[in-house]
Amino acid sequence: MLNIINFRKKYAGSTEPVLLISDCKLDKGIYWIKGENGSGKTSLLKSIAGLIPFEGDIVVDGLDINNNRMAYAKIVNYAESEPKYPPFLTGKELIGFYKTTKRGHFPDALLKGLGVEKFMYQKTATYSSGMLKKLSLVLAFTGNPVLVLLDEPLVALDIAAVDTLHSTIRQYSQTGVSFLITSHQLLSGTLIDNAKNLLLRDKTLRIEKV
Amino acid sequence: MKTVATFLLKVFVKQFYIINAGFLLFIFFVFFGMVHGGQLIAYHRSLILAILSSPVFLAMVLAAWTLYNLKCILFCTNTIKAADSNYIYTLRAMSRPGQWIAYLLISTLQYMPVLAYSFFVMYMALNRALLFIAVLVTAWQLLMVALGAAMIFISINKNRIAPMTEKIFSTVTTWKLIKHSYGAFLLGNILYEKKMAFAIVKIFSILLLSVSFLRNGDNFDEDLFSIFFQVIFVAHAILVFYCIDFAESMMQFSRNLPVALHKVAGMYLFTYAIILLPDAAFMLINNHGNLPLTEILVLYGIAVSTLFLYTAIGYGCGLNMDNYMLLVFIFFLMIFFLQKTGLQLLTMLVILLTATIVFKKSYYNFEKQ
Repeated sequence: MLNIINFRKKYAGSTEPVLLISDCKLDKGIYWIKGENGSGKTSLLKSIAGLIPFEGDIVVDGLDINNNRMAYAKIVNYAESEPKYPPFLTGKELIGFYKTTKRGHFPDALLKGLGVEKFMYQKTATYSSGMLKKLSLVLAFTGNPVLVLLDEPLVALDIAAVDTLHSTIRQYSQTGVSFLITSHQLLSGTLIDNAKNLLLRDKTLRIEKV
Repeated sequence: MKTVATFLLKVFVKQFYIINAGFLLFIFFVFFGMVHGGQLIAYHRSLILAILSSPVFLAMVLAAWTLYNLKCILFCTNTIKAADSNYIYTLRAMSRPGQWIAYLLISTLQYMPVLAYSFFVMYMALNRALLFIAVLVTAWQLLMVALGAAMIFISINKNRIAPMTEKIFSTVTTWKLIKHSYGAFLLGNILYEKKMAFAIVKIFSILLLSVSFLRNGDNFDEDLFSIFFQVIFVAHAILVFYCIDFAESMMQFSRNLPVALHKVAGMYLFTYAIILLPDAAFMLINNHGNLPLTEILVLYGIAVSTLFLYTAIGYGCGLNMDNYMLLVFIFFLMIFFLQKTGLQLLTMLVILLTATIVFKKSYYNFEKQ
């Protein structure tokens, strides 16, 4: 499902890479990426999502980010840890924008389950961090993703929303969608049972043996 | 009643004009600042005559006035809805006629710029015995004012309806036209977040053009104009910087969307084409034969291409302000000498090609420093 080849991530102005992954192949499934603060979890997810540049290659379901960016972006979705959106747009407008670009399925049940429909007509400037997070999660499930990247998805969510998210991840996983999740908070019991642990340490990614 | 009126004027009217100062200044400039003082009355007279003689033009003007009224209404409903505006609900204690008078006053004062202009339209319509148009315009304006007052009344007295009005208006305002359009987000940012910077750049730009086209109109100096034209680009460089900064912070999520690179480039070109429209319009209106029409259009193309080149530079230098301004200055000199060859179309194509190559090379390698 995911293949990371000769991956090297450096920040601008720095000579030392923060991440070095020579080869990493992951099959379909739910992966829980663990690592200390500053270990590069967000940089890794942002690189896979195509938000920041890197050296090397990333391939998802046979689609290479460097040579098939459009098709790749259709199957890889991402929800940021601290989402930011233009303050003058409403949630509804952003949803419309994602629907137009990603196309395919729209997660109506998640929209209702997280209560986004109640505030989506307001401008995002008026949203709390929890509301922004909920909107970003709905957007991350829009389209027909093969891989969904969730960076600290549980932060700022209320208990009911956490349950809704967990069940949505389970449902999508059963249809063949894979997940890379970073979270300092504990995932729910059934998700932990199904999730494989990945450890980011010493600049590289390893499958953690339980 | 006087105390309440003073309070409401402060909350709804004064705040409205403060927040929309940039927007109103821009509109004022487009209608009154871009025409030579001596021709101002004749210009507006012919504009009003066009409104009176063409039903299509009249319909467009009525639609534009309605959009302005929606802007006023949205400001009021948002103010009422805002978390710290609970005090406004104490107005429910006032008698209904008292409330209506107060809200009609607010609505009239917010709508005043349009009312003032429409007064001249009505006057000219009556002068030419066009009674139907005079009645139509009067009725329309009364309806607009009443609608404004009614929306305030509903929002304050029946707050359950407020989300409904918000829902209705959020779908009919100008954002409706652009809500799914990637290309308009940058423009939205300039007009929403950076309106003051936009207004300052435009005033500066129109001032320079005024010196060339109005002050020295009879002795049009092409060399002076060339320098001013370049300086106008440099002034716009700050807006380009804001555009990239916005796209790479608030719109960074869009890099995870299947949007082709040519669409991203198109988004920037569209934004700059709109931003530079007032300058192009000024040159066209005040040209008086100084420059051929085709040359003005090519100059407009050069302007749009140059701002796109600045965008490519911005991406190329990682949006580092010092490096960006240095490169803008270097290109200022290069474009100036290129233009001096007199081959304007070639200049535009060279700029556009350079910009496209640099943009293509730097966009996906960009990371904000």
